[in-house]
Amino acid sequence: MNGGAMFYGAAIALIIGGIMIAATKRNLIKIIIGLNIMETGVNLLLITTGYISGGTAPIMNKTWTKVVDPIPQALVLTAIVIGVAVTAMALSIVVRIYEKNNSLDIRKIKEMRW
Amino acid sequence: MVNPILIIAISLFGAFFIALISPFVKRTGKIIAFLTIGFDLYIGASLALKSLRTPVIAYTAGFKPPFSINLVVEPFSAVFLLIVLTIGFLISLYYLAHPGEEPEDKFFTLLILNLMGASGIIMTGDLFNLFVFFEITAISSYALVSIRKQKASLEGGIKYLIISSIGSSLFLVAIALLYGQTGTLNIADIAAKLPFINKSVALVAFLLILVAFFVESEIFPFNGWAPDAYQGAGEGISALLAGVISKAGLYALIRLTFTLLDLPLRSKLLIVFGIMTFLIAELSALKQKRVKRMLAYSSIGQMGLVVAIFGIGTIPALKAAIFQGVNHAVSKVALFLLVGMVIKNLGIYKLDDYKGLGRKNPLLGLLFSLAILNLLGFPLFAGFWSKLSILLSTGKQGLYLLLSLILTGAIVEVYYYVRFMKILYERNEEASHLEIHLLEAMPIIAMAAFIIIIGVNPGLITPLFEKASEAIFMKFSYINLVIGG
Amino acid sequence: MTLFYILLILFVGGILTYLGAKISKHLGHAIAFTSSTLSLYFHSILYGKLYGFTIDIGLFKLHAVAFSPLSWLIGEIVVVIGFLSILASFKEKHSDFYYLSVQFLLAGMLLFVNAYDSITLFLSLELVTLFSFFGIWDGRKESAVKYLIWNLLGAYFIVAAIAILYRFTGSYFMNEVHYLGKAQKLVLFLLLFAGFAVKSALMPFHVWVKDAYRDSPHSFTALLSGAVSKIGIFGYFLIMFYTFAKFFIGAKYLQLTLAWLGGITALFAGIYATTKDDSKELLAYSSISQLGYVVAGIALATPLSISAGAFQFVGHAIFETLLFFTIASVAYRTGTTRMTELGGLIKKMPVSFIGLLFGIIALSGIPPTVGFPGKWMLYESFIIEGRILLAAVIFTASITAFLYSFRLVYSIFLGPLPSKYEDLKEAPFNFTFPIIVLLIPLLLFGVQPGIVLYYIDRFLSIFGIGKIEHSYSYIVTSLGKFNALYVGIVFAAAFVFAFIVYLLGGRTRKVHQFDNFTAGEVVDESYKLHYVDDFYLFLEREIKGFLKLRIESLYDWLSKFVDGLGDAVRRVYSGSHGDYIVYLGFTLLLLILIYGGKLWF
Repeated sequence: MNGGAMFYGAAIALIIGGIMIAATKRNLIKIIIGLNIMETGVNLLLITTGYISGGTAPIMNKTWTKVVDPIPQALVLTAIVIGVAVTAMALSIVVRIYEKNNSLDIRKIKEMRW
Repeated sequence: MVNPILIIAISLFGAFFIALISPFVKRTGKIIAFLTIGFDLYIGASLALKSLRTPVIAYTAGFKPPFSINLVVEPFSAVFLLIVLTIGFLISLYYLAHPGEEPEDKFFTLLILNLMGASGIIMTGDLFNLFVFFEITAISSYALVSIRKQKASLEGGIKYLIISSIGSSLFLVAIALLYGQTGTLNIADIAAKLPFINKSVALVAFLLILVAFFVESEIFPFNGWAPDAYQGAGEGISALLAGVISKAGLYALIRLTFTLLDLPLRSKLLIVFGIMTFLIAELSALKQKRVKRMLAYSSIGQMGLVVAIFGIGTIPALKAAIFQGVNHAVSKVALFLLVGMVIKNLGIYKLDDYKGLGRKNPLLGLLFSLAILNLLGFPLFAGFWSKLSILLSTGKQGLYLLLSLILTGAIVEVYYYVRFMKILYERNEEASHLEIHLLEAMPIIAMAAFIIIIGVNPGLITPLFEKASEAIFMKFSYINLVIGG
Repeated sequence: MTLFYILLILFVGGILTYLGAKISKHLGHAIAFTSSTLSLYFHSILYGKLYGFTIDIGLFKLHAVAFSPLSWLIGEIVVVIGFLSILASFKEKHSDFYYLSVQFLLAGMLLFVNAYDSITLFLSLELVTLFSFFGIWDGRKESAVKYLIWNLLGAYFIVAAIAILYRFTGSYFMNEVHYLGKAQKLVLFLLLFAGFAVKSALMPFHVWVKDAYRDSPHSFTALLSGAVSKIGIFGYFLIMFYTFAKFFIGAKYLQLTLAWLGGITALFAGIYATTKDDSKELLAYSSISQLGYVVAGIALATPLSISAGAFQFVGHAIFETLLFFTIASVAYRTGTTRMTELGGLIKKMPVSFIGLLFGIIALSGIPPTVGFPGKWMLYESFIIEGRILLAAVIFTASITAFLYSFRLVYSIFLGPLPSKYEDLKEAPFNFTFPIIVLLIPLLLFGVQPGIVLYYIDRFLSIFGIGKIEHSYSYIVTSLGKFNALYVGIVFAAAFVFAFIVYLLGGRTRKVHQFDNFTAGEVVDESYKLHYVDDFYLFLEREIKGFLKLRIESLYDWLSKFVDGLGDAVRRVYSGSHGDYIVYLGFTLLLLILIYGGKLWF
């Protein structure tokens, strides 16, 4: 995994960046974008674990060449689908919040505390 | 032969059958949900019974593990499966007579899916599969929490979503790290390879998993979402959160930290975070003015207590923790369902509005009192034995500080619950009379009967917990079970 | 198995009473009466026998064995007072659940005094706590909550000790503990002692008593004071002379400390009692004070002092219960327990008056009543041991007992009768019966203390403590011989003589209380003929500074502190998602740094 370090670094940066966006932004849409960035980072990390430098797509044919691990790719596909579902769920809640509050500012829905 | 896959298949069928026929036949959702979950419970119970003698393993795709996804039902998961499905069944029974949240057909679809996800978490033997089920549970519970078109529900839902999806991403990172090290996703297989993997990676993965499931099992400081979600959700859903969703999270936490990554620092972390949660939540509940929020904090506190006791990690402690988990699930679900009945009739949320309700409605008062007394651990109720087991197992390990902190928290808990009881029985001529549908009260009466029967004769159920705690304690038997044979 | 059946009778009887009362009040009463009578009968025939049972409830085995005659003695006190209390409570207004609580409470206490293992002990202790809570709950809920919190605190001390004991001994039995270090024994002993001290209301754990006794139903207060407080006393005997016997007998300083604790309790509670206006509050403090004598006696751990303590607690069970029953009958007729609102009831309620009179005579330790021999032996044991100062404290406490008991009898039964009580009648049979029944042992044990002392000898010998020389009527100590019968006869003769003198005295004419004048004015109801308000104002003035020093203020501060803490802690949940994410992220980073640090650097 000689080329991996860069990918790992990028993945971790994306994750931390995404979480920070989610933590600091007030606009609900931006928060969800932050979550999406974080998910992308996680997916990148997953892919990287199965990556072999110079490998090709894991398609079984007669000539066995250097292929990357197929399982992470399958996992990422699933993770992407799940991510989309979460995003859709989040956006639908946001739509309703907007209908109620006429605002996307999360500070304005801080009624429940303590 | 009963196959664990049936639970998932039947649930999926039931869930989408509701969606399929709802445009044509109105208001059948609750009946289909009841039947589906009842059938799930039947299968779950027979699986559990069977697993006490020989654990049940189901393979998919015709391969043996670790090359395929497998479902494992052994005593520990059997107990949790029973808790989750029984509570789910009782909640669906409650909803037969209680109006479901609107839109009803979608609500019941989500309810079934949620239970399916929870039972999936408990049965699966594959790490990524666990993640998938976890997300199914999580997404359906976001939807269930925020299905009410009220500000509070939406607020609780979005907070829950944000925090929980960060938690699940951390879990996915942990999966990636572990897969990178071991090249397998099977829990037993990873556990077997644990001695050979990089220590740093194991540590980070362990901490990530810990945090991810601390979020789900409502452990401080990862539980910011929990009080809001409990307060905002419909009462049946709050019950679901307390009895099913948090219990599934707890199962995953314990399974993964005991079997998958059996690191020595586990014990310390679980105890510290657990007892911290217990104390902070009980103190926070002290000043609450809203019933549901008070119950939410108490729920969090109880989860903290259970986690702390699991952290001790000896067989008596595990047994006590499971017992307490069951008691908490039963009591808290009963309380939330009762609150739901009150809200349906009167639409009151504040503690002070409950003045005299128990005096005016003897059945309501009795059920409230039973659930509360059980939770507080008074004798003649099951809670007494679980609390006593907790204290004895804590003392046995010489954890005196933990012992005294548990007792301190318990006093605080007694105070605010008894205050609630006092409000219920205060003299108030204006207290309203409640229309209680017998079917609606049925699940709570059943739970009250359980509490008392176990309270008088705890021996009826403790052998089950004994087996379960032995099963989780000896991780090699699990590994052998899955990949050895 | 008889004991098991008694418990079964009480448990089943309690449930049947609850269900029966739903059909008709009288059916409920009949069932409660039957079950308490049956339990009284079956427990009484256990006298002098060995009895007990073991049941397996799967998780634990519960052992209930009367391992010393003390169990029967306290058990008998429990069933007798329980029976009388249930009888009296039929005339009062109670919820249906009340009778269930009382019967479950009786069962809990019987189980407690026969508990042979710590699980049974704790189970029954919690039963007692819970169901006496429900008994008080029937009166006033705030006081019940206070009672519950305090008594749970005590129970938690005990369960902590049980858990630690289990760690070291590996067994749940309350057998004698041999192989622990001195420090460990001391800590465990103190934990258990503190737990039982809450039950027997030893200072500084007494603050719940005033509220609980004042606000509980009147007939239930008799049970609380007469029987429930004995749970704590039984616990003292259990830990001092059984579980930690060797340790305690050797620990002179501990004995002295506890004896002083008892002495101080007796004195302080006595002083507080003189300042109370509510008769039940007064009796609550007097009960605390009298139990202080008991603690002082048994903690000194000589055969004489233990006998004195044991005799005193039997006496306490008799006269304190009697006093609460007389107050109950007065309160039943007048509806109040405040002494300023009462007065002159002597002619209206003669039986209650006789009961109260003998009650306070016993309370002050005057022959020929049960209060005398116990106190006499107590003083002698202090003097023999050379604890003169302690004896002086206890003696001062006795003086306060004179003061408050005089206030009690004067304010309620003497003085002018308020006109609203003109048509008052004696309390019904349900109240007078317990009074009359309790008068018998009160006088009998006063002149024949040996009846009790022979029984006390039996359990002292089981505990391996020597016995004192005595017969039915006399007691011999190293200071000399004292014959209760003679003393009693002399006192009775003096009383008869005084009465004859009174009869022979000058001519009297009976007039109505307002057929009177003072300073030239004709008096009416608005004119105070006697001083009941601020009865001991002149004393209170002297000890004003002392009365301000109250342990309650510390507890109030503590409860406020916890309340404030709760309010502060919940602000962690700020309601902002950003904060929650920050908590999550920081904790994760912190964990990785702490544990990774060990690995990487």
